[in-house]
Amino acid sequence: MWKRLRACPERMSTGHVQEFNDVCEYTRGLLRPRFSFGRYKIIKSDGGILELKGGYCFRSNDLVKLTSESFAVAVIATTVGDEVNDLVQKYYEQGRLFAMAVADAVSSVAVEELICYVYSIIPKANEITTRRVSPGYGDFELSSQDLMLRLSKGYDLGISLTENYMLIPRKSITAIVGLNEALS
Amino acid sequence: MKLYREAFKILAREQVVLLDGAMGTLLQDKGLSLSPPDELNLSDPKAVQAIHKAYVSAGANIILTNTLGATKLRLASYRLGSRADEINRAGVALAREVAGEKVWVAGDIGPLGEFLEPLGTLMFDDAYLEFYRQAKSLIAEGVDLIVIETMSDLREAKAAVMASRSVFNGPILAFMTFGESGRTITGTPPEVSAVTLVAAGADVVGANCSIGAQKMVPIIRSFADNVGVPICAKPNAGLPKIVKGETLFKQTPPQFASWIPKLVNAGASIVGGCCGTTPDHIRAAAEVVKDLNPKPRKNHRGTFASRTSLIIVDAPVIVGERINPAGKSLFAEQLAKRDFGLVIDEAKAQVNAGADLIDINVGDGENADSIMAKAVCEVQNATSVPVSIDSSRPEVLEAGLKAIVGKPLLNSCPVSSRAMTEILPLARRWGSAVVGLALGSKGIPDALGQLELIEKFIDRALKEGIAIDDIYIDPVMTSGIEDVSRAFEVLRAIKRNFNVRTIAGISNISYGLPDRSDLNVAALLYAVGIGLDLVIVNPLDAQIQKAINSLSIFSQSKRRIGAQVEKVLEKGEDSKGELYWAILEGQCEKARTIVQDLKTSMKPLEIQSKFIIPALEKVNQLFEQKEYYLPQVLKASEVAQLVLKTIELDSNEELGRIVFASVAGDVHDIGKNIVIAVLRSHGFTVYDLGKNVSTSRIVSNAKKYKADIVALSALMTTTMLEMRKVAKALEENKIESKLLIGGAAVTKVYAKEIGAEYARDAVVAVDVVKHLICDKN
Repeated sequence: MWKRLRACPERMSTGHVQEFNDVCEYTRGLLRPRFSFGRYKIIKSDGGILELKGGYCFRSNDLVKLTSESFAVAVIATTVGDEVNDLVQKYYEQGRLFAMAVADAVSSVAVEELICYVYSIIPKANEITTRRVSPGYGDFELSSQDLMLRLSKGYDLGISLTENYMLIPRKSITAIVGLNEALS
Repeated sequence: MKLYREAFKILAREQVVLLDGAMGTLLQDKGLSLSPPDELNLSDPKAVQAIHKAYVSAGANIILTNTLGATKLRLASYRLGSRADEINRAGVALAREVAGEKVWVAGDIGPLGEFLEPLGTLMFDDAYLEFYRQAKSLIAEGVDLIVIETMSDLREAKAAVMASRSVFNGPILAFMTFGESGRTITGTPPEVSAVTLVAAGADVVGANCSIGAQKMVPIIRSFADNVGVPICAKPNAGLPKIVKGETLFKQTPPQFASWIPKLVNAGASIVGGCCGTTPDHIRAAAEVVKDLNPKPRKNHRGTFASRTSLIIVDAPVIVGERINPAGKSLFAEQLAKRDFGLVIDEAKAQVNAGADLIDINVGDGENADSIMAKAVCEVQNATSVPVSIDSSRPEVLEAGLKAIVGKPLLNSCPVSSRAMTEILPLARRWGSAVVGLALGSKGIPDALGQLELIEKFIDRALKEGIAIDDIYIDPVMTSGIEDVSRAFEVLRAIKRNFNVRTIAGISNISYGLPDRSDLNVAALLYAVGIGLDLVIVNPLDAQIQKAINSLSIFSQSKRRIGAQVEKVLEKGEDSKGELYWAILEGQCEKARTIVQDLKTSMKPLEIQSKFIIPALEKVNQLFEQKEYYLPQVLKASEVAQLVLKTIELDSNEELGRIVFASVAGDVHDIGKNIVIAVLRSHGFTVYDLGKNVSTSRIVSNAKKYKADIVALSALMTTTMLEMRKVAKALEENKIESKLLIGGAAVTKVYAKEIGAEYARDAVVAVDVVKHLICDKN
């Protein structure tokens, strides 16, 4: 958490460290972690198109490269809910800037840890996962978010999209990972 | 053939030794799955071995095993934790097969991927166990050396060195990774990392990864200036550039090799390559290295370190003695209840009064070990100076040592065989300097007897592996004229006969006597005059403070004179006053009380210009110097905003108007809010339009509020494009507001392209806004 804030507790006064701990704890109480994911067999992965069973397609060379040795993918959606976002806004309005930054960092770390957890439980025996990627990175365009939410059942978690493909609640992540057969 | 520590150090003083280059980026270039790269030791050994072979034929003297991330903890995230031993052993076997007789194999150990507490949640013991396991696997398969690299947390690096040293007698090389600021991301500068890791058992220290060779030169110089062991430089192939989501290193082999002489000239005698380097880079380096000789270096001085600061014993060092429950019943009661309020207050007060080191003594009561550990953590949190752990019980000393980040002083070890058997190994193992107390099992002998004890102690400490620079002798000051004379005589004799430094508790000489302060000052000056190095005193005593400050002039202590000048500049004549400090330290309640008083005698504008602006400028300066981080900036802004609200500035006194928005499509606003808060604290009027704001709304509000500046924020590359539309719309509507942009995806180049100004963070934004408003007016 301190790393996320690019800070060292050694440089902070005891009162500030105490406030940091209090805000962390309070924010943690407001987290509403939820996740879902779906596994889809790869039909084709070349020519810049990743085609999945059911006729779903992603256009991205980066995704094709990522899944070049994969037989399937898992599409993940995670969120920690909107309550933390309201808290960040409340702190901002109250002029409690330090608390605002801490609460925001807690919720960012939480949603990242959540997706790391989901990532770790996806592979079955004899499967290994590729790294995970999210829309917005490389040539994997943000416009894929709708399909990501449909495939991962992210809409069922209450995640929605703005017209510019931003996820609401803000502390939500979607990602895709390739599933490879583990070498014996 | 077994590689001995001392032999390797001698070799690295006489010739430049060449390490290999990158492994991970080469495997990635081959299109291999890097989840994780260490696993390829089992699944694709040929690919790993081919890279080793290429480095051997390029001329590397040492090749590193493909095990950087092969701790059990790290592999567990890939469900490979149970295969950690197998992966490490295979890594060594692969390198060993191609190394032949002339090339050494180094077992490579990297970070755990999690921070140790208090930065993270990982306990020191758990981290130690992880490194211990990995080192054992590597050694079992027969590595010649161990390389610990890419560390950014000093405590983690220390755990890795200590764990490796506990099972390995060969050379250990420990490198940390530094950013462009010259510090690790947790704030540790190279000199602190150097002395701490050498004390913990590293034979070579240095820097790897993160920055290119050019930026590494001053870092290497700083290493070389502060320790006597060989130094290693292992830079990337230039600074990484992100192109289409991929990290690229663009330095060519000749460009890379051209920096090697500069690194060697700065003090490195072991060089190699990190991310982005290839066998061609190492081949080019080998050509250069054969004509180079290491720069002769000598370093013989005492040092102490916290996580962020280094104390060099080049002038009298003041050890604050006040954290000690002896004779203080309230203090003892609070400690027993685990209330550390007084410990924290005393630590801060002593540092403010000029203490260089804080001595921590929590008594010998029940649970003294866990109380010591907590007290050490609290003092480290509250101050940034190194500490001295003071106890007669080995288990209490060890509890304190375990909680330490940096290099402490262990105070103290009497010259009895039992104490030396128990305490000296602790000092060596935990990388601490140690005090030899010149008294034996029968108490304090006469001066001659003390000198015999001292000789015995030094011999034993050196045999234990403690460096001569880390041995301090206490001649045992007690009250009584004869005793004081004896202690001074011994002090003189130590300086004449032994090559060690000295420490003494000055206040002891006046125990039970009248006018203690006068006597203490006289003893302090006399003892320092005859060569006392570490002075244990009460720095809060005004007379002692004056004596210390005066001494600094004669001893030419740059550290202390520098601090004095700073104090005079900042606090002298009380020109800035308490409100300045309350803002600087982020103390809301204190500021609220002070400003209520000030309001009765000063105009709002005067309060702003005399206290608020100078404090915030100091905050910005400290942020630039990496002394302050975002939380401190925000706390100071919080207080400044509160003060501004309380003094109620007239609207015609406003410094400038800014309309601020996250652009259409962007729902991220934390960055925007931080910048707004900092700007408001500097007295600017900011109209916050919120997030996802349409271009037309931004334009109409710029017009409505007669904005001096329109500031836009965007996090994503996709939404960043909206900024161009706003720039165009402002121009079309003939609005003369200047445009300022920022956010994660935004660059200076993009800003220039659309005719806007750019600020990379809140602190820079304040400067840019000031300039823009000044230009406009």
